[in-house]
Amino acid sequence: MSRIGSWLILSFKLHRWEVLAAAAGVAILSAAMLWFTWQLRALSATDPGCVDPAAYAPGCSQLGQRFYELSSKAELLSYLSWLSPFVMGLVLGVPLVSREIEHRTAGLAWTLSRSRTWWLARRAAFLVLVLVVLLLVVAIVGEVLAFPQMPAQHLDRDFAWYGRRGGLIVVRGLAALGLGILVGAWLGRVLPALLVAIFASVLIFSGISLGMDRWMEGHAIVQAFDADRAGGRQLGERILLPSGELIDYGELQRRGLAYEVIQDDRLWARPEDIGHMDRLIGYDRYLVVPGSLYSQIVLDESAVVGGTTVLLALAAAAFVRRRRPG
Amino acid sequence: MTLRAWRLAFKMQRLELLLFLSAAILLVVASLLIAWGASEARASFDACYQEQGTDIGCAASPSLNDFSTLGGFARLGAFLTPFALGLFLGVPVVAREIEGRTAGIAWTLSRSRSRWLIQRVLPLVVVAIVLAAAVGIGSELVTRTNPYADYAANPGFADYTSRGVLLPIRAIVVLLLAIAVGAMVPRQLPALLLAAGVTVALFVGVTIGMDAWMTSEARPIPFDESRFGPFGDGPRIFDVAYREDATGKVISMNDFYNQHGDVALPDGEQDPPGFTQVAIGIPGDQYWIWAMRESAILGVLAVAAGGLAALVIRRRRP
Amino acid sequence: MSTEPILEAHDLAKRYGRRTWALTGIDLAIPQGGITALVGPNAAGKSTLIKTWVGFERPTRGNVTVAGIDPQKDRSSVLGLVGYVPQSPSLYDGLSIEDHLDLAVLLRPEFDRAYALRRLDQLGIPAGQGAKSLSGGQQAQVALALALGTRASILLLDEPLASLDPLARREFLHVLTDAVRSEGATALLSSHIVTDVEQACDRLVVLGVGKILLHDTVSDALATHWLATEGAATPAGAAIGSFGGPSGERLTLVRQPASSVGPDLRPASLEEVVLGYLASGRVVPGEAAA
Ligand SMILES: Nc1ncnc2c1ncn2[C@@H]1O[C@H](COP(=O)(O)OP(=O)(O)O)[C@@H](O)[C@H]1O
Ligand SMILES: [Mg+2]
Repeated sequence: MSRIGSWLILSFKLHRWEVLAAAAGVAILSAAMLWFTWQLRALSATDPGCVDPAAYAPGCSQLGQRFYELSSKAELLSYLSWLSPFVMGLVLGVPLVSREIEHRTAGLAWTLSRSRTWWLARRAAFLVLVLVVLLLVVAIVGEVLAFPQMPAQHLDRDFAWYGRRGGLIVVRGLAALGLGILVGAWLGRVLPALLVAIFASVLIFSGISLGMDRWMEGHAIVQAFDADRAGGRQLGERILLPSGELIDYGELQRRGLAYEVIQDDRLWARPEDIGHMDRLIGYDRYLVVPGSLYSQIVLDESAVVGGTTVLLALAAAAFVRRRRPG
Repeated sequence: MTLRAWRLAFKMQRLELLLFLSAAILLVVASLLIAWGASEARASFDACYQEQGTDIGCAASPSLNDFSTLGGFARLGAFLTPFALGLFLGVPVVAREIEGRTAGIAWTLSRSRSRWLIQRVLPLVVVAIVLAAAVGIGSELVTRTNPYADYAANPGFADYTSRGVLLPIRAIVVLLLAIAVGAMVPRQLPALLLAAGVTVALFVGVTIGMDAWMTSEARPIPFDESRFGPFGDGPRIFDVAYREDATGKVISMNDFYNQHGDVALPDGEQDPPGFTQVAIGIPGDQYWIWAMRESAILGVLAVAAGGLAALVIRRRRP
Repeated sequence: MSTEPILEAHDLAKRYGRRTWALTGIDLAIPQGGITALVGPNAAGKSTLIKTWVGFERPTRGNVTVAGIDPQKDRSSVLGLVGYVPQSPSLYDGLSIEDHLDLAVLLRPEFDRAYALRRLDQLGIPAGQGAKSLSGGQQAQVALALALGTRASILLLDEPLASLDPLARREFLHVLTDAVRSEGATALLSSHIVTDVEQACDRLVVLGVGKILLHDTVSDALATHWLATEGAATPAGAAIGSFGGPSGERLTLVRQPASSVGPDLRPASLEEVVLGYLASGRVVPGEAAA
């Protein structure tokens, strides 16, 4: 048998439970999503007019209702695709080192292999392979389902289902894998490591998310509150001061600029100020990242998450090098 | 149980217990802070509202919104607490003993395995109840101070699954179930995944069942236009229907349009002439009745799961 | 047999946590070739010593070398030279014996799969069987085969005989002696019972609680140690330690060249040599650190 073949088979045997569970999960999720894709497509084919909210036609109530029900269930599934990289990355990554330590096989493996880093790299490579294949399926099926679910939107220029479709799923999965391996190597016990890794991933990924929001502010445009935000990602409400400065409501409060009345998009301190432009507090505005930046932002976030993955992998390797095998 | 038994039970799962203890303390403290901050913010909002007689301008403060968001996170944490507690404390009880090959010692030292199980599980049950109850109380306060509702006196069914008495009882069901699964699949990670799957299936089932039961006892509830939406006291709403003003007869929306066709609504009116919209549901003041019913069902499930665990362990090879 | 040291320890001390001293200043040089028995009671520090040689434990003080290489500085070169069997080794749950050999080949390309397989074959251990369905003794044999298959010139075996029946012990030692002779390898195996290893070993290291009590070749140890029964005159300065004999009498171990031995001394067996040294090194726990 070739070396690669025996590497694949042995690695699979060492992780068969997790790999099979992950594969089963992906199979079920994908099957469900494809079923919804098929149902939604069939519905659109019956009467395209009824599924386009922009062109809502009379006589659609039955069909429209059915479309609404199906697409809200499809939406629920999309949250599972959002969750899948975290769950799968951790479930595959945590036991890699921790189970070897818990079962006291690390002593054997770490003397047979001269370099622990090499041992780790080879074991992790298999999991990376499995994870990439499975998450690619989730990522693609997510895209496939998104099209009939949001028939009116141009999804390549749209923040809808951010992180629930496309390549970001794969990248996030790899980061979760790295985190799982690191925490597993640190604690050396499977379940506590999984628990800690879950907490840690909540922290890390919320941090990245918040950071990305900050980063996106640099790319955001200011829109009137009733402007068309097709495909855009709304970052929050802001106030455009007559001086041209853009501040948020917290800052407005801090500056003591109390207002009582909003008329159209204008903020006034008192009803009697309305119309006196010299007493205008400011304009109600939205900070929006235009949908056209969708792919760029996805790439940016992928780079950040990828960098985090590299750091986690290095930390895991350093940990394994120094760890007691039992 | 002796003090020593408690100490040993704690030591066996020290790492998990410490993690849960710190997480629970964090969550409870955060909930208290959120509840306190939300009620402060709400008080200043109410003062503004009183003064003006309208909320225009009062809603400007971002804090209501912020506290509502933070409260959502706290409630999510509370919702997840019983599941996390049950799964992570329950699965290793038997699975780790077998995986680590300590079951042989433990099960020969103790003459009865059921006795061993009780000794081992009782402290976990107590810990799970205490932590879940603490988190449940914290999130009860978060719900009662929800800045966008008037839930201070009675939140009814609002945030039904993430607060109060249901949390500890859920934790117990999941704990016992996880012990049983851990005894059947004596490898920790697979057992955890399987137990999580079974738990999700079980609770989806219970929720569907409870919804069906509630739907069968639902009755018309008049809309009550309060400042924060149509319902003040957190009823559980399943549907909306029309009630004929003259006869008091309730007719579903679908039936109404089938009988009357598309009725043109008078300008500025919600309801067709002669009819009033009502909600079909369970009023909020019946929360306790239903919470008790659900607790009873979960209690039966917990006993069943515990019995299953004992049965599996009696016949299991160490 | 060359006398150049291949396993060395210089002033090696190892502390676990704050208080537990497992080793308290060990100087040891084991020459290349042959089989050395590392004998000592439970908790003497045998496993700790072996684990520092494979680089699993970092010395608190002093250092160790394997063929002149410090495992703390170059662990991978050291691991390339040694085959190791941990104390009560664990095999992988879901893998067969053959899988274990494949795994070894993956982890160490020069692993001699055929050789290991032949060893297992001779013992009648079916290679297709799941590792966890083997008996404890068979699992120990598999772990030894994994160490032998590395064809390493140094074998470090931590209590490999503990889970074996008498027949399996003989077989195990036979396999080991054979391998060591034919390859010119050096083996060090720890045990808490000296009779187990007596026939197979060339050298003996007695480890008390944390320190070396005796290091000698087996033949020299037998030639220079004698036993005095209660009341017999023991030459001044030659007594090592006293211990209870099988029928309750007190026996004293004496070290003396054969030429000057008196009539009331009889030759000591290897077990009695070890007992005498352990008795001499018996220290109250806690004093060990001093
Ligand atoms: N990982 C560890 N942590 C703390 N103490 C340890 C550890 N390993 C061994 N010890 C202690 O070191 C001493 C020597 O242990 P060990 O080397 O295993 O002895 P032996 O193998 O001779 O029985 C014992 O007192 C033991 O309790
Ligand atoms: Mg030992």
